[in-house]
Amino acid sequence: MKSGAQLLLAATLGMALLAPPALAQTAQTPVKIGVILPLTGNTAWGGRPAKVAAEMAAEEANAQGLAGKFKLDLVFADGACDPRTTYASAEKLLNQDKVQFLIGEWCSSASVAMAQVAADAKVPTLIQISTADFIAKNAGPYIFQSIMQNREIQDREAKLLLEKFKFTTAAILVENNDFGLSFRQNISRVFKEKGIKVVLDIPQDRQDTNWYSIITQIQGAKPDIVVASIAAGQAANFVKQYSESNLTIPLFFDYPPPPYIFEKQVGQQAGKLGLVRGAFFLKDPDMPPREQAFIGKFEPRVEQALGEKHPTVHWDIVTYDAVMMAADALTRSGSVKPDDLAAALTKTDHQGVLARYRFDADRGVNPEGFDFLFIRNTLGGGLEVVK
Amino acid sequence: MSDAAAWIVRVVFVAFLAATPFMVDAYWLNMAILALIYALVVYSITVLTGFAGLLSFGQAGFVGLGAYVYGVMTVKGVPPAAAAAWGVVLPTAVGFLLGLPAARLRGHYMAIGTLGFGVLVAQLLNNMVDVTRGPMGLLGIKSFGLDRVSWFYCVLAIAMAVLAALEHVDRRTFLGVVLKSVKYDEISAAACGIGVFGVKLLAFSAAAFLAGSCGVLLAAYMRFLTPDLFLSAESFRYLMMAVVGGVGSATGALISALILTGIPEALRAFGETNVRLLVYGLMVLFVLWFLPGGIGGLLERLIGPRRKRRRSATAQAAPKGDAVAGRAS
Repeated sequence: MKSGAQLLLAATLGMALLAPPALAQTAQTPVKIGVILPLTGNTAWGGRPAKVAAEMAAEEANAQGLAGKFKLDLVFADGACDPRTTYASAEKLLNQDKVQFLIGEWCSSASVAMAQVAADAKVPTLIQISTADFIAKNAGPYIFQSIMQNREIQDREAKLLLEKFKFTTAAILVENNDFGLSFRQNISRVFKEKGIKVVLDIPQDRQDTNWYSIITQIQGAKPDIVVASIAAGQAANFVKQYSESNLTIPLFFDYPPPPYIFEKQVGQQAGKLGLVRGAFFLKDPDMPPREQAFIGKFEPRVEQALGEKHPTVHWDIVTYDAVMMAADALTRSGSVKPDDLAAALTKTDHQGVLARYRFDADRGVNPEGFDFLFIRNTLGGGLEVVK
Repeated sequence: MSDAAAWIVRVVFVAFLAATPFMVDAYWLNMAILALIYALVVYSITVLTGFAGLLSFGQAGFVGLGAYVYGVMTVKGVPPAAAAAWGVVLPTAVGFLLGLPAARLRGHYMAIGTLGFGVLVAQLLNNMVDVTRGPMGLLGIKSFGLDRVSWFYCVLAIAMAVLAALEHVDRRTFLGVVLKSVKYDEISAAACGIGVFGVKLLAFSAAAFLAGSCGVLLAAYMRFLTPDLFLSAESFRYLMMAVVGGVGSATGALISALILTGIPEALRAFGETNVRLLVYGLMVLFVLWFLPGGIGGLLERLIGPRRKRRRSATAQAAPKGDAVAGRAS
């Protein structure tokens, strides 16, 4: 009997030891999160590192139980910064992969496509990079925009511009896209309110690489400052041509040109001009500890994943923050039902790496949570924060 | 291939298409719907380039016009049916007006002229921000309240009806002969009393009608619009579909639209990298290399012997010396 009882006890203990704890079992409830990023095409330089940031966030969230009883399972799809490709990717993620949450894309036109598909499917969605105004507001109750929108960025830029520079006349040059046109609209409004005279106002198509005729017009108009919204490759062309023309009129750029890539292309020329531009983030000794910690773990990982060094840019951080926000919403809702998740997202108050995220009634992020900097190119080809 | 076999192939093809909703998931059904909608704009190239010999690089402009007329009007509260009518009428009217100068151009000049039109429309859509919301994208477009399966059967019916009409015009009507005469030799056609300018104008208007219809369906189905969907690159994508289909073959156009819309998605199996784009490009090159007449050319080769037999049989049946009967059959 005794040996029988001992055997029974031993078997019970053994089974108890072998069986995983109840908490661990519930922690394994997987939630599929679709992440659409530009993994091919012209913007893949940014999409690939952002993918690594998302993976890192999901691993951390799962390891630390930040998603409550849920395990984040990321499914990636290529949006190529193209609305047609993104539309198909969103359809695939929702109908084939059966994701319960969406994050993405990069370009606003692509995010609009994703937002419509997600809104029709009633799947909670975070647009973490695209800044075009009111995507979330127009797409309906399941769509959230967790980045400052153009009008808010440009209001902040205008305010900083008036603080940091003394000018009474300005030239506005923009690229013919969502950044450019909304920058032109918003900055013109603020300048008008402050009595700044706009002496030149020119939009130019992205594919036009020759800026010399416009630079000649700038020479003729003699503004106190040139403010421009020109993205990536075109910005490099413009700075090169502006520098070669020996213009000394101060130059300010809206935030799109990505730090470091831009410096590789025209760092010396931009330094010579003392180019100033807006930014959410700069790797700088004075940056907050949470950003330092992020860089410490992200940069070695992205170098390992991509086989090359990649200095952190804010697009990486907001993608990381978006995955963490999804985890936070899952923890608070305790459910993957779209309505519960959307309700939890509405009540978000999340301290991320880049910002403190809270949403307004239109499901746009509250801009007060974001820092915004002016950064200047230095003569050595580097960057510094304008104090 | 015998007549009976050719009919069996046709019936199997249509039955296969009709059974699609029962064979694929919602994602692939969505791709099939898009492909059938794109088939309309490829048909427009079939009419313009294949039938009338006019090369257009600006078809995306007509698609964009139709889509935005429909989209903007429904957002402003116009009922979808009325908006759809305007979305078709306006591009057709613009096609007619564009045809007035463009129909006087030939070859490369016409191609560049239509390219200019495509660029102009893309710029207008991008810059008329107060109307189109420009690059910020247009959301909140109303539709017809159809579910996905109903959409599929509607666009399938439209695509098949237009296909049948085009095949009929091409093979069995005097208009088809007139269009071809303009395509192959304008001077001879004019010498025979054909109003070349009017025929070209008709082809332009018909092509704009089809492309505008494509735009309306695209906007009503996807329910979002951005100007990036109608850039000149899209015109070249449609042209590529027409070339792979075999310019001038409406059946080839439909099959090509289905294949070239589906393949990039199927190639996602290679991973979300540039590899799939490379494979896609190689496949298109492969088709053009081995099938210079496109899919339509392949179909002609398969069905061709039957036609030759029919022609020779008709010639034999005709009274001796009546060679014209043999040629005309």
